[in-house]
Amino acid sequence: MHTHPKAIVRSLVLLVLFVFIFSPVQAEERIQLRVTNPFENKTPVAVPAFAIRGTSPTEKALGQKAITLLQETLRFTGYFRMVDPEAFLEEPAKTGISEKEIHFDRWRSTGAELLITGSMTISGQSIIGDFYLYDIYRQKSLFGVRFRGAGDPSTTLRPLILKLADKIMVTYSGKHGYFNSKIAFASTGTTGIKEIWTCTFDGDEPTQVTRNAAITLTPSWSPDASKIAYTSYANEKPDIYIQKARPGARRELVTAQGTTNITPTWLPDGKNMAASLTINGDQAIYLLTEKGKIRKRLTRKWSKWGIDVSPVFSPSGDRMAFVSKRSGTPQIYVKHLKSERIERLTFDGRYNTSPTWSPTGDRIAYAGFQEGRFDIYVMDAQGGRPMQLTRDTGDNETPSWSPDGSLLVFSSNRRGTSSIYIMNAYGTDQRQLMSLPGEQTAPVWSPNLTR
Amino acid sequence: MGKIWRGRLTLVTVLLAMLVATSCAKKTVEVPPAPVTEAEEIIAEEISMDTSAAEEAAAIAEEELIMKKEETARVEARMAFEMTDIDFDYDSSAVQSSEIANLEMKAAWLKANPEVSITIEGHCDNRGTTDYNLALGDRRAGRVKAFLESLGIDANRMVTVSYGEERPLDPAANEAAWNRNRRAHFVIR
Amino acid sequence: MAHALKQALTSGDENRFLTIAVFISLVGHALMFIISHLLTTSGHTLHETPRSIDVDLVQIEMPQTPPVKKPAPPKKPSLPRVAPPAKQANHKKSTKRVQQPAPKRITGKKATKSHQKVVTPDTLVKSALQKIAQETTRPEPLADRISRLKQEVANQKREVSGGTQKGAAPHAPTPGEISIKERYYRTIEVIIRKNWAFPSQLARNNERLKTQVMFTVMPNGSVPEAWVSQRSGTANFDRSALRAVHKSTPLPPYPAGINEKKMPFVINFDISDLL
Repeated sequence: MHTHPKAIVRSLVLLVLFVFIFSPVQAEERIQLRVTNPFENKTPVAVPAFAIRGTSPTEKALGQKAITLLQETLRFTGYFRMVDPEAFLEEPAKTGISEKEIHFDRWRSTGAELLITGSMTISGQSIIGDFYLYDIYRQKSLFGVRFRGAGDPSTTLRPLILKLADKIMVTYSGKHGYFNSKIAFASTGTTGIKEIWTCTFDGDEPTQVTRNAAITLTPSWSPDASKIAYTSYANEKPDIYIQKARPGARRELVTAQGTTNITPTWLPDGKNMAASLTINGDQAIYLLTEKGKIRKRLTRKWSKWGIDVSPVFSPSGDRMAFVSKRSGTPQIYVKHLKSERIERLTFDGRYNTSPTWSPTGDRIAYAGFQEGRFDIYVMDAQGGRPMQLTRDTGDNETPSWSPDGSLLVFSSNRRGTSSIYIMNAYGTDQRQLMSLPGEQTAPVWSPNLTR
Repeated sequence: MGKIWRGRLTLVTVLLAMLVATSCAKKTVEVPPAPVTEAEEIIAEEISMDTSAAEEAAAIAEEELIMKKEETARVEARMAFEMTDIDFDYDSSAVQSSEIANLEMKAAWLKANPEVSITIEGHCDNRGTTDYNLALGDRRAGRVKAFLESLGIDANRMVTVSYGEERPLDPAANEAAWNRNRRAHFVIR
Repeated sequence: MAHALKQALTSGDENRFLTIAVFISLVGHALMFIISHLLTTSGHTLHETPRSIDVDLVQIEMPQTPPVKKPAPPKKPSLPRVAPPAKQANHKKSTKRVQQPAPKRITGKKATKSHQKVVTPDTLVKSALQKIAQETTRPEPLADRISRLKQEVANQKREVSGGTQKGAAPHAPTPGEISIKERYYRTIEVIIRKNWAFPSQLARNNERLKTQVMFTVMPNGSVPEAWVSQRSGTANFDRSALRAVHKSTPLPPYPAGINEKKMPFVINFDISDLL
């Protein structure tokens, strides 16, 4: 054993390296556990009262309104659960809202994972709001922002709080919310005559937009959410009109050239439209300008008495889904506009209509009639197995996606008269959006309004 | 909507019933027991004074009666034309063979009344979606129009309009109501 | 070796420190290697079938091997360390476990087969229904529950068949060892799952979402550190898993019978059962 010390050292080093490299130490000795499916389907959030810097009672009231609106908006997304304020051990409104002033340990005990704090300075003509979002377990702020709203605080409060909600959504999920979007729908209101109405994403501010005093239906939003196209009997037959999406705006005729001019829709370019027109007894989908000039016929004659209706374009504008009776029953088809190839999408059931593209263009929601009822289904836009989202709850029709693709709005007569409902894109959390006189049908969700 | 239409329907039915009732009455009684107006009273006085004049008056009365009968028949035919709908099968715009006789009668009436132009309304039951039913109603009205054209009616006298499922005759949710709601309806312009 | 060591120690200054350090390191590693192997043999085989045993199973088995299983029933209440909702989570786990390979290891292949037959979709549906009945927190329409149920049944069936192969582990530890450690593992799983909050619809676009969190549990149940060791690609999902671990700490101390200095864990979080 008279080896040279250096050689020994060298061999020892090698041995150590060898052991180090090939030993299965850490990685394999960890005990593997598996946790499948979160127990709670919502992230618990603590939203304590904002610090309000304002003197008058109205300003204080606005502060309370802000908190309520924020909580309702977050709850509406289906992602968050508001932790009961009873559990709060700290009042940031008094002790401070910034990171240094937050005792994360105290918030941990509430079970909340996220904490939102804020202070608002409300004066006669402006609101300045400072807001923080904290990760209670990482003990750090995820953002701190200041929003300023100029103008009457009672009107700027809502957009300001919705902007905060959107900031929270982007931080939380990486995606913008839909808090700046609206929903258009047809309602018979108190007159019994269908007109187009709009409301905010959460069912607030229901507003009658058209006053045609004639059946007005099938609303469709322009891509910038500024205008609504619709079908109206304003001139005693169904024709297509466009109107700015505000009450009292003047309607402009797009086309009355067919005997029946129905189901208008915009192309994503916001300039061209498509609609189903019956010209000389022949019903087909046409590409039109906003002025009604026919640019192209999009569906070909396949039978003298065929039906092609309800065109809708994929977000990128490369495909058009529509309803056709060419197979004998109404089914959903997708036309690839470049190759002009048309493929049938739905095969289950004898009645599938009202297609609508998800904002990412990968899925199509529609209404299918089976076992005497209409239900909402979602399907891969390439085809495949449909997923049924509503079941045993009356007729559920005309789905439409929220701008972020997380929710679907639809109409349902589950409680008698038809009304507008919301569910998440996988069918859970179904709820009525609002209660209005008359029947509400054909809801369509607008893109986020750009301001 | 449904209420209004049901109301209208009842009104029309009552009117029709009244017409039928009055025409029946006229058939059995020679002199119409119509309310006595002042003018008629004067005529009656004259009759009592002059028998020949009375005979003349009777003749006039009879003539009027015949005219009224004709008028009644004309109105009845017109109403029958408007009141009888063409029915359809579910999700179909094909003209059923059972409706051909009905359409031939309509064609005959249109030929007998060449000055009349009409609107053919296409309607659907509510077991379908709004959009699709607007399209289907259009097809139903269009097919009826085409059928009448084939029977020799000038296309220019006929206009079609689809109401989809917007104007049901019977808002009930049962087979009978759906049957009645799937129809082509005629309106004289 | 001793000679070599002596030589090394007495050799030139420049080599001395390095040699000692290397030597200590070598001995240390060797020791660690041997000890960890000795201590975690059972753990090793268990890795492969982490969801193999549960308290409920023990109850089923009771008549066959009473001495081992007797401690189980009293343990059960202490298991979830939590209020009512946890029980339900626990319940779900247990129903799943019942059909897993555990019976095989305890009672042999024949027993396993008979056990697997007991687990019919009906019983699964029943237990799942029971679970749903308890589950009042989530406002989920019946329809969705039913479809989810069906999926669960399908998944559990799959696990039954999948688990059977895994169950044939070569070095089966004694039942006593299994139940104490396994019970502790299951407890940890239940607690962490109970603290895991994530809107599954956010993950549904990516149904195979999986993330891994590593942490070490000390005998007193404390967790000095936890980190995401394998990202899912969805930051929000990874954060939710890490938070679930943080929220669950401290975990219950080791039960009597576990004599480790510390226990390193890796938890796989997934939501593949949904959809």
